[in-house]
Amino acid sequence: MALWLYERTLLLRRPIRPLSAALLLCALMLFPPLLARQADVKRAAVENALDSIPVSVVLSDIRGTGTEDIGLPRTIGDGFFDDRPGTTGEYVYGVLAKSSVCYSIGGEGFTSERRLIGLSALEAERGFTPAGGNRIEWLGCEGESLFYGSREACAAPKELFSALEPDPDGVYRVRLRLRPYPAAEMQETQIVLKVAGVHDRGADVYCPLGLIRRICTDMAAPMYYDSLRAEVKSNRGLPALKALLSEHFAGIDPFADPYEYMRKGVYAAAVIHDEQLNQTVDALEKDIRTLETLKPFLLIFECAAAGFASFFLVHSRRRELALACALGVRMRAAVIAAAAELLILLVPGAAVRNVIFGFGAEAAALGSISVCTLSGGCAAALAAGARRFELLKESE
Amino acid sequence: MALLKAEELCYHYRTKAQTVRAVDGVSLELERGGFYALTGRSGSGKSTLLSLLAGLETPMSGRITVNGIELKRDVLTLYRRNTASVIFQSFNLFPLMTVKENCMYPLLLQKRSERDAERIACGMLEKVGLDGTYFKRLPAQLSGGEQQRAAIARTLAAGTELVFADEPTGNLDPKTGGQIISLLRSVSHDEKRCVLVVTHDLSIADAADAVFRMSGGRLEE
Ligand SMILES: Nc1ncnc2c1ncn2[C@@H]1O[C@H](COP(=O)(O)OP(=O)(O)OP(=O)(O)O)[C@@H](O)[C@H]1O
Ligand SMILES: [Mg+2]
Repeated sequence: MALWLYERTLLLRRPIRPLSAALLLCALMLFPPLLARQADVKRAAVENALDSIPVSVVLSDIRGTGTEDIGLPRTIGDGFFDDRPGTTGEYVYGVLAKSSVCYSIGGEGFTSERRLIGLSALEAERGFTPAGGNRIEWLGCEGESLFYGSREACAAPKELFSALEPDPDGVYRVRLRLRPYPAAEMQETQIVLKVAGVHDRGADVYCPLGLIRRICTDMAAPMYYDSLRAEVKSNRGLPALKALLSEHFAGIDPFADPYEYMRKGVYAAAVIHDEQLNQTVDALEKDIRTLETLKPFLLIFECAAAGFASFFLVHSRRRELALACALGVRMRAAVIAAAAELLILLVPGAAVRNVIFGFGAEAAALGSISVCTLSGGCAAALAAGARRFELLKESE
Repeated sequence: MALLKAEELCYHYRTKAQTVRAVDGVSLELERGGFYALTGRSGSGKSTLLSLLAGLETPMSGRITVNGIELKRDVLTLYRRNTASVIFQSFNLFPLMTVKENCMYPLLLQKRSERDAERIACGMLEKVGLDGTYFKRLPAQLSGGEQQRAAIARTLAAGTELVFADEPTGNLDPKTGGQIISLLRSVSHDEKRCVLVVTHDLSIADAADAVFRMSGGRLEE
């Protein structure tokens, strides 16, 4: 058909306009899936942050002034070590806890400076962390695994150790008189501990946390945790953990009356250190929201751009179209030819888009852009056909 | 029976300010084999009347019958393709098609074979004085007069019974103009087609079988 002939001639002899239109359409079609992919990348980053950014729980006193000597009742502290469903331990691991009783040697009195401190791991005592600077010199083949069980062994202060004589079997042993801390009643018991290591940090003796539990049980005295912190197992469990913690712990209240809180059954403040996680996730979610808000506006803009581009592409040939109609081309055929050409121009963009993003990605956007392209071109073709006589009168 | 019969044709241009009665109750008859001239002052409505007769516009009232068939919207496209063709005041060639392709276009629309179309187009181009050296040129590579002749060749090559020409010799020197007029005359007289020429040129009017004079949208008796 003769009209196709002219369309073909146009494409071959003056390809600049159709080519730039095809390029523009390609760019327009790439935008929405690009945006969607960007949002997906951000969503994946949120997941990644939830998976990888460490979050810890630290218990402090109700005023938030200290994390030592918080006096947490045993029943609540033990929940951190229990990993049955519904307990705090289900959500945390690596619990670093400390609990203590007072000791004395021989006939001396009890003071709060001399304590037998039970640790769930070496790092539970800040002084023994790399940042703390103190070390334990282990005797024989002993090591920090000492703290994992409930053996009757300890790391003793240098001063105390130097006063000891080894037993016939070459092992140093120390006999301690013990009282609960904080001292409530006058229960007292005695224990003999093997000295497994020596430290130079104050007068406290360090033993496994399990041993303190046993001692308190034996004395029928209440046990209290002095400090407790733990790592969160999975950040996805954070809301459940927070709900669980809020049963026993308050948020930090700098003006709180601790006794008031104790009467209410709230023992301390639980601080969840998820600042880094929140910062990261918030920033990402803000980006996602921005992208989502941008999406409809971008689509409207793109549809308009596609419609205008195709309108002007066809409009730039309105005279030729009018002429074709004057020579006996049906208006319908003219519109179909314009639409067909635009469809051909849409193909490269759609193909590139499908190769990069797959067919399903933002198919609605692709459809809208295509429809607007076709409508713009058809409108221009119709207008030119209808104004054929006027257009032909215009001098070139 | 007349080849074309127009009765009481009216066409108004409506602008915001006023209504221009460009064609205001025109009746005329054109016979097969006739060579007619349409004259009148500028703005008298000649081009508008031509567009009605050629089926480019539909009259607001009145009717046109060709070969006894009334021109209605649904037959206009085929009328323009097969029965009536126009030489425009401005040449209106397809800018990206060569002279030869331009001339072949209406023939291809009539579903002539490519070879037929080429033969007829080349023959007609030579008749208007454009030889083979012009065939492969684009319209922009021709002078105004050459474009005019290419447009005339395209219209005549279409072989329609009715040929309308709007000042076809406006851009031509007197000698070439004279040749074109005799070509148009021979088309009407020898091939029994009907030619209507809009012109200010009195020599064309003299050569015509009949002259219609227009003024203010009406035909003068
Ligand atoms: N699109 C239009 N809108 C309004 N008025 C128009 C339009 N086209 C033409 N006219 C008016 O209609 C009248 C007839 O115009 P037409 O072009 O038919 O004149 P003409 O006889 O061909 O003149 P010329 O010899 O200068 O070509 C003129 O008065 C003109 O001003
Ligand atoms: Mg005119």
